Amino acid sequence: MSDYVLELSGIRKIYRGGVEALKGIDLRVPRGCVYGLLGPNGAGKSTMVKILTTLIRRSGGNGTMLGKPIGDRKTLQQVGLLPEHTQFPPYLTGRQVIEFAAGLQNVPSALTKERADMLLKKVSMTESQHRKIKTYSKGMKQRIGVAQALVSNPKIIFLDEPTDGVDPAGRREFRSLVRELRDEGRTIFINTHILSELEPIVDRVAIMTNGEILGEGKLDELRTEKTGYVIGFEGQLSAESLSRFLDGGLEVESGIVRLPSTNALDAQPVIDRIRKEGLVVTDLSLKSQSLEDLFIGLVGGTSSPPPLQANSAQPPKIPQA
Amino acid sequence: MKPFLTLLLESYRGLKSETIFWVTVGLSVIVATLFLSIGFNEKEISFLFGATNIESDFSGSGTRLVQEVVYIMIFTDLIAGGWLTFIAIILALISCASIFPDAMKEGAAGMLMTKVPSRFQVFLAKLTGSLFFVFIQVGLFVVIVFVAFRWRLGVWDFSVFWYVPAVLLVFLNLYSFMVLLGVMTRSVMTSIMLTMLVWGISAGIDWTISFQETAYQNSQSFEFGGPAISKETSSEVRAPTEEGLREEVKLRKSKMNESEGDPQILSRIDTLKIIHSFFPKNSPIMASAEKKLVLDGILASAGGGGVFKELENEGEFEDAVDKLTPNDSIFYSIGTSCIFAFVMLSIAGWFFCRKDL
Repeated sequence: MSDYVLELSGIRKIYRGGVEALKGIDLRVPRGCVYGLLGPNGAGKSTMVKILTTLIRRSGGNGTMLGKPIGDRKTLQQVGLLPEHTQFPPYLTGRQVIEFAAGLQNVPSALTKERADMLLKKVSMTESQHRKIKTYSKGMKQRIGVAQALVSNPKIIFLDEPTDGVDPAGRREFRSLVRELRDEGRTIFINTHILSELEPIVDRVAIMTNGEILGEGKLDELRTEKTGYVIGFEGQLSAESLSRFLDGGLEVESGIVRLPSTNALDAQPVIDRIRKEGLVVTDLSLKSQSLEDLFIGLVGGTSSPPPLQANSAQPPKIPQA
Repeated sequence: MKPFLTLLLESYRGLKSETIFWVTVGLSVIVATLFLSIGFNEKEISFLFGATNIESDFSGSGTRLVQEVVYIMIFTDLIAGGWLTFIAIILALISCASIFPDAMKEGAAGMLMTKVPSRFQVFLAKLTGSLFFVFIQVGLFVVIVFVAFRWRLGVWDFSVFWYVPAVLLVFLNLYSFMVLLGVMTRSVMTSIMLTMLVWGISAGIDWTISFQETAYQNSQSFEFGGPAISKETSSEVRAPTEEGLREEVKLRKSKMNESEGDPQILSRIDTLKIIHSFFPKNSPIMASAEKKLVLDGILASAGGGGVFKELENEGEFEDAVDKLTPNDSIFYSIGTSCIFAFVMLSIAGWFFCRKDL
């Protein structure tokens, strides 16, 4: 059994009119992780999920999901999807939506009731289960959406903008649910542009823009270059001092020195040297590059995006679909 | 099988949840009950179960046959011709117009088409659900009419149930085109408007063919209505007599076979029929159900339906009725209509299965 639930090679999508939404995506998603696909609106994230769930046809490339070629109908029984703009039949109750999804996924009738009860409890919708969908708030619909996505006990779950319209308490519950699902061994693939939602729960991320993946890997791997202590000072370093700092592997900009270390003890000798130059230390802080910094660095806003070592791996070899 | 049945159930639930479903059911029951409420006595036609009575020449002519003919004419011309053929079908088309465009909306497609059933199964389930909707409407209506015939004419006439497949086929003809438009444009309004337009064109061609056929018959120097109207009563009472009807049927048959008409009109009719062959043939299909009602139904089996029964042999009777409805054969009308629906649905299904959602 492969360690990857999803392996894609050269996936392309060209819409009518020549718009190239995906420009040859190579991606491997490990089993049992929370995988975040980040990107601004129009980056191609939803197109990607739609290709994987057979809503749209790819123009090129191939790949496998759970070891079967993309588009394999039987594999979809092991796949759950919460679409971006969830639209359930408004005349159904929350419970009926889950039962409807169970019917479509060929869940045995004997299991349906038990599973619906369990999922309603899991998404905290037991009390509202008999209300019509049309009376639900956006957040409640999202909860039912997550529940219906889980009804076939899927191995991989796609959540497209899952916290869109969900209140803060609901977001916290959502994060807890995602962790729970990961602990059960499922793979959760989350599409979002709300980076703060993803940061606490994601194991790996891919950053996408204009149909291309700019960076991919574990958050820590992606952050390495920018994490460390920053020391602020007043005054001007002499050329000789500057040269010594640079030789020591430090980065010096106007008024600050960056250390590629998160160990406070490494900062002490640098502070001493700054003082020895007759300068005043004004600030000492540990800077950890946030997901947002990473995102902005890659997608735009900085002139030189940080190197992403985790993305240097060879593209996966994918069997022909 | 379970996913398909789940889809069917959901389609039915969806239609049932629409107000127009219940409006159509209510109207069907009202129209059928109004028909049931029509009765006759020796001098009057009664409506609303006798609440209102109108003195009638038809009733006044006194024969049971005439009352039967009038009752059947009310059904074929007003109830079937007006309600079933037009209003009920328009309501059904409006009710079902949004089924396919709605299924292709982003959020709904994410729910329906990312699961075990193939898109083709989703397509079939939605189509079957729509037909089931019409089946319920027409079925309920026809059952009430069936009871009405028994009550008013004393006959359990099962031939009235031919209207169920006939109306379903007429609906399917139009709906297949509407589905194609709905799948291609995803616009409910566009699909309704263009379907009505095609229906109008088809009806227009059909009407023109009938008009031309009448003109052709006239060019055969054939005189209508002479013998059927009693000489004694023609100036006052416009009611047919049994003897007159019998004579007219015989006369039509012999005259039509004997005389040649205007060949130019015949040529126009042929051209129109070629054009019409590409369109759904709703009027001929409904006429075939009507013919079935007349042939196998009330007039042939009712106690007072002597005029046709008394014709010496069945073949002569059927020929006469065929001449009274001179359009194409039932097999041609049903066959070409089925081909039309099949082609439209095949293209629509192909689009539905391949379109990016």
